[in-house]
Amino acid sequence: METRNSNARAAGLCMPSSHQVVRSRHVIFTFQMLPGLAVLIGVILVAGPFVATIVRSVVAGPADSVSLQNFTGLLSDQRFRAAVVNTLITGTGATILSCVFALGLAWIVARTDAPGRKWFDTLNVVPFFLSPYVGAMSWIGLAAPNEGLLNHAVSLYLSGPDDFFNIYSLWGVTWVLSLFYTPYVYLFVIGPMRHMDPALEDAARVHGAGFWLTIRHVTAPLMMPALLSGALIVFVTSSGLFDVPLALAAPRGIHTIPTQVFSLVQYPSDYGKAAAVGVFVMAITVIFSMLQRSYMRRRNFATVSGKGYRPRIVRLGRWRIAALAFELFYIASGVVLPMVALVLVSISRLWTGWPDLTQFTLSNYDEILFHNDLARRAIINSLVIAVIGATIGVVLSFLQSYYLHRGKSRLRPLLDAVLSLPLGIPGIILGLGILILLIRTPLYATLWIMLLAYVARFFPFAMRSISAMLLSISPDLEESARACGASWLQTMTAVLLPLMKPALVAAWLMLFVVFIRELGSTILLYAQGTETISVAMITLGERDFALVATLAVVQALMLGTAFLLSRWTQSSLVEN
Amino acid sequence: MANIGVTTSDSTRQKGSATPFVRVTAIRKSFGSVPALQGVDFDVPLGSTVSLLGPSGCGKTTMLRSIAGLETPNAGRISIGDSVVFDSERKINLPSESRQIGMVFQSYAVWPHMTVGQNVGFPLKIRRIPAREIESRVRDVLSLVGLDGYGERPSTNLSGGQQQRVALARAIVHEPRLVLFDEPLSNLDAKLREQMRTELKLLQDRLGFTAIYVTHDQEEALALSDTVIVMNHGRVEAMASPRELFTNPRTPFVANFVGFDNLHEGEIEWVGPPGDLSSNATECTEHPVGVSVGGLSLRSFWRGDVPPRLGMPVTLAFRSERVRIRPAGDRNVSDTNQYEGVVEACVYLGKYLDCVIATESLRVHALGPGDSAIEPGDRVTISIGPEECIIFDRSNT
Repeated sequence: METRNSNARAAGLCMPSSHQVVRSRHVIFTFQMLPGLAVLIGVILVAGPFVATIVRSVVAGPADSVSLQNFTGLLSDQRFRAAVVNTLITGTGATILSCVFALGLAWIVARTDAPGRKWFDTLNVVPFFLSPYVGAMSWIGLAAPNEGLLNHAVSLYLSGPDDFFNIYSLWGVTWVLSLFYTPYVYLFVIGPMRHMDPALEDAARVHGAGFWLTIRHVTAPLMMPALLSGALIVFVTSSGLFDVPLALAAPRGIHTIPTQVFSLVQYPSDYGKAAAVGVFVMAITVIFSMLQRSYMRRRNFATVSGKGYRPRIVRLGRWRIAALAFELFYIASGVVLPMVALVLVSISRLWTGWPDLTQFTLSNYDEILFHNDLARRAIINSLVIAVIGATIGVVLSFLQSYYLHRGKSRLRPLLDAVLSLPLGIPGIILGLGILILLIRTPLYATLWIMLLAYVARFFPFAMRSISAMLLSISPDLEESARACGASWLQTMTAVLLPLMKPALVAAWLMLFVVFIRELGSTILLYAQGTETISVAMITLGERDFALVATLAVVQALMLGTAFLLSRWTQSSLVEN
Repeated sequence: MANIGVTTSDSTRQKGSATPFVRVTAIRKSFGSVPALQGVDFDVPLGSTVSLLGPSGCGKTTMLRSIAGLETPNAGRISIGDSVVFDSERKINLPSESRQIGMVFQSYAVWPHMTVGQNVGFPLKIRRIPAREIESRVRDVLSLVGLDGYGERPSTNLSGGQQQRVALARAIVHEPRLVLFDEPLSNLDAKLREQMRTELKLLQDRLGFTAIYVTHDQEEALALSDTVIVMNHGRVEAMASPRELFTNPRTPFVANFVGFDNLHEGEIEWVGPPGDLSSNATECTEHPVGVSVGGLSLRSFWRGDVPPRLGMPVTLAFRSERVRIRPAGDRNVSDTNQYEGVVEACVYLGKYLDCVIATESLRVHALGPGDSAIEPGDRVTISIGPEECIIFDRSNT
């Protein structure tokens, strides 16, 4: 057996004899099934919660009979209609505002001579790594009526009212969502902004269009596909986000669709009605993603070509100060002020809205890290789920990407569409689906169900970035390995995986970050003993804001570490 | 658009007239500490075509972009017609859009979000021409560049040649006085390049616009222009008509660039009396001279400005296609400069056979006819006519 193995290995790389061809063909067959298997798992992960939700939504009444009663009940429900309106307000507001922020920031970084552009390029995506829930918590510290830092500053220095800012409002929700979703749009538009062929704009200038006309007729239309993709993601995800409205709007009795679903599942729970909301949201998501697909098909022009274009830099002159101020305003609102507020709250014995040097203490950290069982359990749970989940997610999405971009199945466009669906489905809706699907199985109330929800909700994100890398690698490289006699598995391990390493590491870190902070998909699934950090923050929030702030700082540190790692690996991997 | 075919005769007559239309004076430009243009001067007469020729990095594209207003030089002056568009001393720097020019980019820069018609009509739309007139002028210019009926097509999925035509149509639709070309043919395949070159030439003769044309391809420059400017290291190395440039380059760099691929350093061995060996030697005095190149002695003619001296260091240049190859021992009594050598390498190019031949002390590039049966290792006799060689004074460098 051993000689046969080494023979096969030797033969695998050059001239296989007929005997080994048969043998290796058998091996290829099994390993080559992996991508297809991963796609199958993905489809089940997506379809399972979908189907379960739809089935549950048409079951109503004490006799569990099939009817549309849940839907009709929903339509006449005043609270549901208010939640829809509130969701539209915050979602649309956050989308518009984050597009404005992102376009401005990306343009300043990519196309102007504003000072500190290199630094801002990194800083602008930092809010992406912080959790929106942490952001909401910190903005409570900053702008809660009477006790927020900013409100205190307003009343202290401008003698204004100390409830000048009220974060507990739809405006507060919109503001926090905008700040933390800006990096999504930013990451979409910075690429085209940076790599657009400058001759496209030069051509407009030369043929008579001034600065503004060039932007209107050439730059803006060319940016539109990227901007719309980013805007769509922000609209769908920010509307579906559970944590921010929970922290900022629910305390004032203002509800959005996700918090509405949450309260429907609380005692006395109405799963049928909750499932009906789920079907409603899923339908909207499917329609949106179909619209987006058809729009992108019509505008599949590539402004980003492989060439290393150097964009034309606009000299701002005295506007440089304005650009700098805009950048600083965003970084202050999205990173610096929230962190300052959280740290101040976490080291204060008693938070009164203004730092008091005599009251500083580390007792909150001592409590969170060494004494509070809930917090300690939550930290461990989060780390375990994040590490295992990210690993599973990366393996799964690599294999899926391979199937979709290297495979030959005619179903690929359809499968791609199905596997992309969770991109738009709110975490709490997917969590609801998984809850309905698995509530009667032994998985319920274990860490496994949480893991399942995380992977199901977020593997498409990893698949996106891995696919992008896979598409940029010419299949010739793999085919030449095969032509040399390497088996499929050898080709994977010797050629494709090493080439894909930067994307795989980046995807792993992204999933890790998302899993550490995610709340929506697990808020309906956790049980005593399986709390995560984000869940613990909510539970603690009912008692002690200082402890929440402390836990938030701990979470932010974990996310910050992941961010630094991602920057560091990106540079070191690219250099290799 | 009615006058598009009519302006021809007038402007062709003006070709080469003394009035410079574009005037570039002492232009300097550096990127950081890297100098790109180190004092460039030239004039472009109205209605003529001037090529900026040179290897990549010589500054030709930077020069063109400075004329277009897409780069701002550090110093100098540029005028187009009677308007000064750039003057570092008077702090004049007209933006691109006010310079009233047309330009064809290397990447074509056809806007992917517009149809062919919208692309071509853009300069007119910006100038607030009524939509109806835009439509008819776009139709005319599209048929002029051979794209009849393409107006409604999306501009994505056009072939390279078609994109090139769209870019060209867009550059001339508003009848600019000056059209700039930035290596417009370099992205096309060889066959299409030749075809487009001819079409471009015809179009230019018909419309009579003044053109500045950047290229690194000497054939293109020779084919398209009235005057060729050879640039090197941000300076004008030579400025001449294509024929003059091709037959009588003034520097070894230019010689090499226009196909004198054998360049050998040597020194003057003997100087004969000036005489009129060629029948029409009038004001130009030609000395027969002998040049020793690595021990070999070559006979040629001195055409330099200063009289030749014995021992003067020189560079001798000749074209490989002017080297005659014959079997060893087959000497022609009337030929001078005959040497024996061994064929080191041969590359078959169909029409030609590109050989490297080693004589006692020289390695010579020679082009033989494609059907000659020469093989590496063969002994051959090569000869180079004295009039095929150019000698450059090397004493100043």
